[in-house]
Amino acid sequence: MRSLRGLPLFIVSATLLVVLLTSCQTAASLNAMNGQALHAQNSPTTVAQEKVSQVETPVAESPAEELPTEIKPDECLRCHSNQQRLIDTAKPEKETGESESKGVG
Amino acid sequence: MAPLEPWEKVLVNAEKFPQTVHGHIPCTNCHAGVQSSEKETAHTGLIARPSEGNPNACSDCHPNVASVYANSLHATQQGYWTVLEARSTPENHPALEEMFGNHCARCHSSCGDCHVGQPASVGGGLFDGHLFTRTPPMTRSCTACHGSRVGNEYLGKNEGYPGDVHFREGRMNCVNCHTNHELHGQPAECSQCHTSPQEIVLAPANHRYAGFQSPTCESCHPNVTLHTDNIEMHIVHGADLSCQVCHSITYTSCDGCHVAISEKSGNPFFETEGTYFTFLIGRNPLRSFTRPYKYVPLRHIPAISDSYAFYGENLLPNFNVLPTWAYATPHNIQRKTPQTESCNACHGNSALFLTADKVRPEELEANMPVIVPAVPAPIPTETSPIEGATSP
Repeated sequence: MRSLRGLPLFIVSATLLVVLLTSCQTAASLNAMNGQALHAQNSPTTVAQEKVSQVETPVAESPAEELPTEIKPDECLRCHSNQQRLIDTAKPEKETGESESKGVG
Repeated sequence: MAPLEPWEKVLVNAEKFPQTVHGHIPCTNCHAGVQSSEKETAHTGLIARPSEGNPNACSDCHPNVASVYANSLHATQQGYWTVLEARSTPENHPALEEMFGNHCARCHSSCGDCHVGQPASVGGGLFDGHLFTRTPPMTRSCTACHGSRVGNEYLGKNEGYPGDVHFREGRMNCVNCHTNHELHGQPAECSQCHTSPQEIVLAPANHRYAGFQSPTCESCHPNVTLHTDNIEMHIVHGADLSCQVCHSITYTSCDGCHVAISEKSGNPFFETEGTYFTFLIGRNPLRSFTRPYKYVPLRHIPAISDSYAFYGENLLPNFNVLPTWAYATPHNIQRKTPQTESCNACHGNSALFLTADKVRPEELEANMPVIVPAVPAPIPTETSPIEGATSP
């Protein structure tokens, strides 16, 4: 069974080769792999790399204050958008009389 | 232009205004006052014109424009003071300041006077429900103040005289030529905006015709200066005549303005002796590198030595240092005018030139720099209309 003598050696060599290839990857390539297609994301190797080199991503903070459920009316706008109310509350106009200027200004 | 009703002046468009950028700002942020349904309470500490002054309500969001606008002629009205100071002496300034406050200061313009409401000189009031306009409506803003001369000339309101071709044919607004850079003013040093290796220091304009010409006809009509328009007269006279000498038509001049406060009403008023149409070519009183013309149209200004006599005697002791026939740029440009009909429409035609006989005796001394001593002689060999003149 001469042909089977080299099999264990082959298996060991192949295993060593795989280990060497995976350990030589840089952090940049790890990040690139993180952003690749879905098939890469599902790769157990990629998932492990994502855990090792975790990039901080901003997380939206929930607002400290609750949003108001009721908007206060703008009293300025309420009055100043109401023509009749403006007419009713206007100051009496001073009678200026005819302009005493003569000629073109 | 009819004044607005009191309610019209302050009516806000509740549907459109809140949708705008400015509409998202609470009213009290700019106008102060108090949020209240009672008018008196609401108007406590009210700032009716929040764009006045520097800084002002506009400065927070528009710091660059707001800061340089303070130097502009519309804000400072420095043009008036340049002339007043030249004709008066310092001891007369307090009286002149009182006069100015009563009769002239109303034409001072804030940001809002162009971009949201009418100027105070025509009663104020919102243009359009407090909506802000990048380009002011010409007849409710620009010609509201610049109406009696430029506005009427440009819009063709002087009976018998057509409006400016830029309006009639070009449908151009004032700001098509007078850009925001010119109107908003400039900082004391151009290098605040223009980051060039050289530091150019230019003082803010102290008169409408100070500094570089802006606008210039040539910026839209470069073929004139490049001599590629086949018009011989542009070559012959391009350097010694302003464009308006040939291309403007009869314009308004005024005589003898006096100002006073009415004893009856207590209101300020003015009286001018007369307003009339004229077209007179004179020597350029502002001749310089930027305005190299030898001849320009001149407009008679109504100021006289005792215009402000109500406020004191002899307030303008140096009245004659400046002419009363002033450099003019009538805004009634036409392609074809009486002057362009032929060379001898002007040459030999003394009626077109400001000669000494047309100047009041008491104003002769002041106008010596602009009076034309000798009318250009007729062209004896001309037998045909001007070469190169093209039909409209």
